[in-house]
Amino acid sequence: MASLRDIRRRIKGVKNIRQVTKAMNMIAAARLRRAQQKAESARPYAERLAEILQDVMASSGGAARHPLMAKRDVKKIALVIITADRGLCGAFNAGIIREAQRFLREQSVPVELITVGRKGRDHFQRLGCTIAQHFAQPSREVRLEEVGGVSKLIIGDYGNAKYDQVFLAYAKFVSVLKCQPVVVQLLPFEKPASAEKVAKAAYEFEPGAEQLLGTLLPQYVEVLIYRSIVESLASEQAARMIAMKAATDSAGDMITGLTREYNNARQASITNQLLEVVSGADALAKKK
Amino acid sequence: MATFAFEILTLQKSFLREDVSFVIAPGQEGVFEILPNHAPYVFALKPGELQMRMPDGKDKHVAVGAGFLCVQAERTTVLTRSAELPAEIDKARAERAKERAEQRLANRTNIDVIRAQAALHRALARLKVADYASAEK
Repeated sequence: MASLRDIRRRIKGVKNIRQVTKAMNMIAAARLRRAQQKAESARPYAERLAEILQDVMASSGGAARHPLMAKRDVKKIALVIITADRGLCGAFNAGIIREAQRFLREQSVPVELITVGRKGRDHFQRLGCTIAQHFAQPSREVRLEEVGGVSKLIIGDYGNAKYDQVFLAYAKFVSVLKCQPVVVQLLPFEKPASAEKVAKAAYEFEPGAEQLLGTLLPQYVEVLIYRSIVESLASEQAARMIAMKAATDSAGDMITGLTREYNNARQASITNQLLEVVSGADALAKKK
Repeated sequence: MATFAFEILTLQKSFLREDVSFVIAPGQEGVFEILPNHAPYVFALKPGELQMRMPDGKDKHVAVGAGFLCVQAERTTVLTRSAELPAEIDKARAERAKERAEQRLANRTNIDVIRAQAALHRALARLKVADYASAEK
C-alpha cells in the first residue's frame, strides 16, 4: 500500500487540478454566453441581407451575372477549415477534422486547405496536405476586420479561377450539448431554392442590378464566414465547458477514493502501533 | 407628420429602430432622401453621414459605413458594416485614420488605392458626424 505521505501528496495534486478545471469550466460558460449572444445578434442582419440578395436576383429576372456565381469545371477545390487555437475542449477539434478528412477522401481533384485556428493547421501539416494560407483564430470579439482577410482571399482566388469550388468546414452550434461538424459549399454561390419566388415588389436599384450584386455578394460571403466563425466559437466554448465539467467531476471522484484509501492507511498504521505497544507491555509484564 | 418604420442593422447588433419622417442617406451615386411611401428600392451606400428627422422635429445623425438601404412597404432597412452615433465616435482615432489615409494617398506607391480611399471616406464621415455631438445633447 502507498505510504501515507504519497497519498496525501496525490490528493493535494488532484485538488489543484480540480481547481483549474473548475475555473476553466466557469470561464468557458461565460464566454459561451457571449458567443451565443454574438451569433444571435448577427442573425437579423444576415437574414435581411439574404432577403435583399434574393429580391435583387429575382427582380433582375436572373439576368444579373457575377463572377462569384460562375460555375466552372472543377479542377481545384479550396476547403476552409475553422478550428480552435487551443485544445482541452473535448472532441470539438477532432470532430471538425474528422468531417474535413471524410470530405477530402471523397474528392477526386486536388484540394488546397485554408485553415483558421492552429489545431486544424497542425493536424493537416502533419498529414502533408497543402495549406495555402493560415489564419489565427480571431479574438473572442470576432471583429469584422479579422474575418475580412479570409473572405478577401477566397473571393480573390475564386475570381482569378485559382479554385473552382470553395467549401467551409466548421462546427454548427445546435445546442450547448450538441455541436454538429459540417462541410458546406460556399462558392460558387448557389441561388437559394426560394429565389424562384417572384420578388414581393418590383424593386428598383441604384446602381444597376449587376453592380449592386457585385457589392452584395462579397458581403454575403463575408457574413457567411463571420457566422460560421462565431458559431464555431460558441461550439468550442460549449465543448470546453462540458469537458471541464466532466474533468471536475472525475477529479472529485478521485479525491473521494483517495481520501478513503488515506483513512484506511492511517487506521491501519494506528492499529499497528497499538499492537506494538500492547505486545511490548505484555512482554514486560511477563518478565516480572 | 407622416412617418415610416426605419431600422439600422449591423452584424454586431440591431443598432436602431424608430419611426422617422425622413432619411437622408449617402448613396454611392449621390446623396438621396427617403420620404414616407417611397417606392421599393435598393440603394448601395458609401461611408458617410446619415440624417433622420424624428417625429418631434429633432434630427439624429449617424455615421455609417458601406452598406445598403432597402425600402420596402412595411419598413426601410439599412444594412451596414458599422454605425455610430455622434457621442460614440472616437474623434482622435478618426483624425489619426484620416491622416494615415491621406499620407498613403499622397505617396501612392505600393498601396491599395481603393482601400486607402475607403478608409479616408470612413474617417471623414466620422469626423463630420462627431461634430453634431454637442448640438444634439
